[in-house]
Amino acid sequence: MGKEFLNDFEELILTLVAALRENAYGAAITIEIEQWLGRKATLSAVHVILYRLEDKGYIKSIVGGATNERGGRRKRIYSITNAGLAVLRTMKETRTEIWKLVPQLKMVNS
Amino acid sequence: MKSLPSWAERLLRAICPDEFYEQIEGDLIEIYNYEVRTTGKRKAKLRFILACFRFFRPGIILRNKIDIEQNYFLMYKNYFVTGMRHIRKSKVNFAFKLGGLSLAIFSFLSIAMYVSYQTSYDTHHTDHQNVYRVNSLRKKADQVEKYAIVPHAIGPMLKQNIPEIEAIARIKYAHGSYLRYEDKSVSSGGFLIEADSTLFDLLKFDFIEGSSNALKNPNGIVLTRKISENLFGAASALGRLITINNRDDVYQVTAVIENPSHTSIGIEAVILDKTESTLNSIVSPEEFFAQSSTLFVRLKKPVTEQLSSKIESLLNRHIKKSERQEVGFDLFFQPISNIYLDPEYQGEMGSKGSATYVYAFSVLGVLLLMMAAINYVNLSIADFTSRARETGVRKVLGARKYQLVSQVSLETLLFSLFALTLGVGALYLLFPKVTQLLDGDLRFEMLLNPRVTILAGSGLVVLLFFSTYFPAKMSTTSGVIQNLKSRSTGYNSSLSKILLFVQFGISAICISCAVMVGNQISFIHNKDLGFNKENLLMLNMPRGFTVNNMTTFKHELKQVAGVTQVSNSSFFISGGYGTDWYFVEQESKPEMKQVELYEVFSDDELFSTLEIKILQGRGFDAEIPSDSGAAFIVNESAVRELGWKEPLGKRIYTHPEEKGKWDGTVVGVVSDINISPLYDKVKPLVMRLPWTNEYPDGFIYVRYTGDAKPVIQSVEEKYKTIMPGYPLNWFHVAELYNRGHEKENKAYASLQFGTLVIVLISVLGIFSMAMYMSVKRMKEFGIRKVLGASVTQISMLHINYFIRLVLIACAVALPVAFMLIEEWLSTFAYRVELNYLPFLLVVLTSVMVVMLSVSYSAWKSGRMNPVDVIKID
Repeated sequence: MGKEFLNDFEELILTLVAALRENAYGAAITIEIEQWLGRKATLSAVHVILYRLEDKGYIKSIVGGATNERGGRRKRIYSITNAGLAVLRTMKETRTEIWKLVPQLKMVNS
Repeated sequence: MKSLPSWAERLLRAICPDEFYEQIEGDLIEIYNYEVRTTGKRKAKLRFILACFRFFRPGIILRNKIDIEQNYFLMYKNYFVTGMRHIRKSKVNFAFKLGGLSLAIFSFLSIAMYVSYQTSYDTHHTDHQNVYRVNSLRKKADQVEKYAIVPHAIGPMLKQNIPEIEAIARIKYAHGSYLRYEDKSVSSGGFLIEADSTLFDLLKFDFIEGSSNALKNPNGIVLTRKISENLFGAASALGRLITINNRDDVYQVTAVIENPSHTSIGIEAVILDKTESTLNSIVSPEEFFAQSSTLFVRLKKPVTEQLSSKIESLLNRHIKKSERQEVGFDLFFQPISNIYLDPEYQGEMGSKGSATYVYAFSVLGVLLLMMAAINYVNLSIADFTSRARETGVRKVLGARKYQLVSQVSLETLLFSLFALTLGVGALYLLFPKVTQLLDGDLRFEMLLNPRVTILAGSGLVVLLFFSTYFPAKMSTTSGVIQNLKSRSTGYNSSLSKILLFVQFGISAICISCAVMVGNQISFIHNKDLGFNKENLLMLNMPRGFTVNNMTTFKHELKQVAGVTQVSNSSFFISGGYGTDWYFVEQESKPEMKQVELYEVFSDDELFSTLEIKILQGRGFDAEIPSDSGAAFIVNESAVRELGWKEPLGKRIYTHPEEKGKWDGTVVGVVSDINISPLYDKVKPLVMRLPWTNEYPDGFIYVRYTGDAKPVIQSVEEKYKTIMPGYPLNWFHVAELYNRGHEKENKAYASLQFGTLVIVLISVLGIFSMAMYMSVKRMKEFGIRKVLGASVTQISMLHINYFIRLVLIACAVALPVAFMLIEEWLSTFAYRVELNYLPFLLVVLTSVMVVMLSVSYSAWKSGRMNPVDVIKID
């Protein structure tokens, strides 16, 4: 994979951006991480990774509408680019390939 | 709903890139609201603040764009290079600008040091804010007088009854003027002090030997370094036994302190005060002075209303209120650090400063700085206008406003730093001269004293601000095209006119003050004092000098070669008189009137010795026995005061209850005699021979001719034979008299110097301004010349511009100067009268000075070749 390496947090956020679609922005992603994984993510860390992914061209952003919930501030909504989708897919496939090498042992009830 | 607290918002705005800030803020708020719902308000708030701080990370901060701004730093080098080129092109202007500023900084620093030194007297004592001197009020001839002393018994009374008072210490003059060690004796300079043993706990003196417990030993004596060195040389003084005058009591040296400086309390030697006294002296006028001392107290906290009322009731408990009110007695507290500059009260010990001169110097300092700032601003504006093309090019190439401003500020800053270095360097080199002029106790290290630094620093900041603001405004607000065409319409001539006007005005005020102060001072030195102060010695006789001794001594003195006249009297030049009550005859009224008059006891030779003029009648005559006690001689002031038209033969009684026994008549009138500095009016004075021809211990006046040295030497020898062991205390009357005006003389010298600096700065300014103006108007002059104007006409045109300004400035400044001088002169009882002549002189000098400084550029403009100036454009 070389250059296209993403660490797990980056991969997670990229996946979430792809999944959340028009709802993918900093706060929503942070809350989603908490709900899906049960672990707290700091907002600043999420933001830093979003900017990094955008720099790498995996996601792009537009400034979206404001809601009352956010004190009238606008959101920056991210969407995944083709490059991002490709990377995500490659990573997922690589992982599946590797998974296939693992002997499929049957779980025996004890 | 929640928005960020303002500090967090500011923090975020500072660290987050602009384009992301809004979304970050929104996200933070959204998460906060989510967490309020899920985990509760308190925890959410905490997390929220934490989350704000977590944005302080490289991934966010480094996203800020800083690359474009860096260009701006690179420009500094360019500013520096162009600045240097400009300096090289206009060296004279640069030198004048720098010289003026350095001179101003030099003078301002000296004044800042002086003022801060003068205003910080007695601030070195421990906890000095809570140390006070207790003063008293007392009626004297129906007027309430302030006294720096209180009855001796008040101190312990306050200490015992008022818990707010932490410590007290009393000091008063002790009898005796000499300290003797074996066969050596040294004058205590009048500062032999009796004090409580707590003195050194309350007030801070630096101990060289011994400790602050020195006075716990009842026979201990504390000396200053000066006295100790005079008595014992470099050897240790501790434990040595010394005596005071010729008395038998022996004192043991228990400590040596550094010579007191920066304090209003004068001390040369201190012994323990063992006197006891009662509170009676509050009401008894005779005892009040005799039984009083200076009282210092340290309070636990600053003075409050409550304390005053406590003292009031305490006084009432000890002394009947009606009695107390009759003599107008009351106490008040004075912070110790105020003593030095406050007006002098009765019975004050130690040295006093003059608040007037401190204010005057502060004003002079501010004026100096103002002059320098104005000068600098004017020249910088002129400078930047002549660099208009450079500014224009910068603007075209995209210089922003703040860049132009920073160019100006940078140049001013560097320039001021350079001038500061020069100024401080000059101060260092000329420091001995400065201390001589201002105050001998100043040390160069005081420049680093926080007070001086703050004072000087704030002055410089103000200077920097003004000298940056105007040129910067000029270069940023002028139009690009005008800049490029080098047309100096951007030059604000009305601003520079106002500045020049202020400069001329200040100079005119300073010059006229200096002239008038000089007049007053020479008036003081040359005023007819009513006696001849030259070639006159005053010998101070000790207490208990006997009549026999006096007669012998006088006789002996007359034998000394060079001595022409000798007289003995209680007349105290540069000191004061005693007063007494007399019954005097009134003009055209039969009954006698009781009046308080100043009195002098004297022998018959006083008038011829002091060369006092006898206006009417005669002097005393030793041949007429009835003169003794019955003959009075009054001065002119007394005649005026008593309303006598025909003073001779008027009766004066000293004790009317014994009729006939103590009756006297006026036999002569003498001219007024100024015995003290000319602040004080001559007092109404009666002079008389002592009743039983007994000479008072007092002063001997010796009139001599020729060289003073051999006379003094033989006088001292004669004295030694009569009073072995006592050194003779003698003074030159002229010197004594001048010492009373030392402050004026010093102030005059400094004022002269300050004025010189101010005038010099304005001359430099005018010179450069005139140069600049002439260049600006060169084309106009050229056309005039082509049309037939002569060299003189053009020169006059140029000069007139400045002369007009000077005249207007003088018209405004001189009335101000008049008021200031009138105010100062009113402190003197004898003063010069103000007339228009000195002011006319000031106007003339200003015009002359301006003409001289403009003449060079005027000559240049008159002489130029019109072709050279018109061909351009």
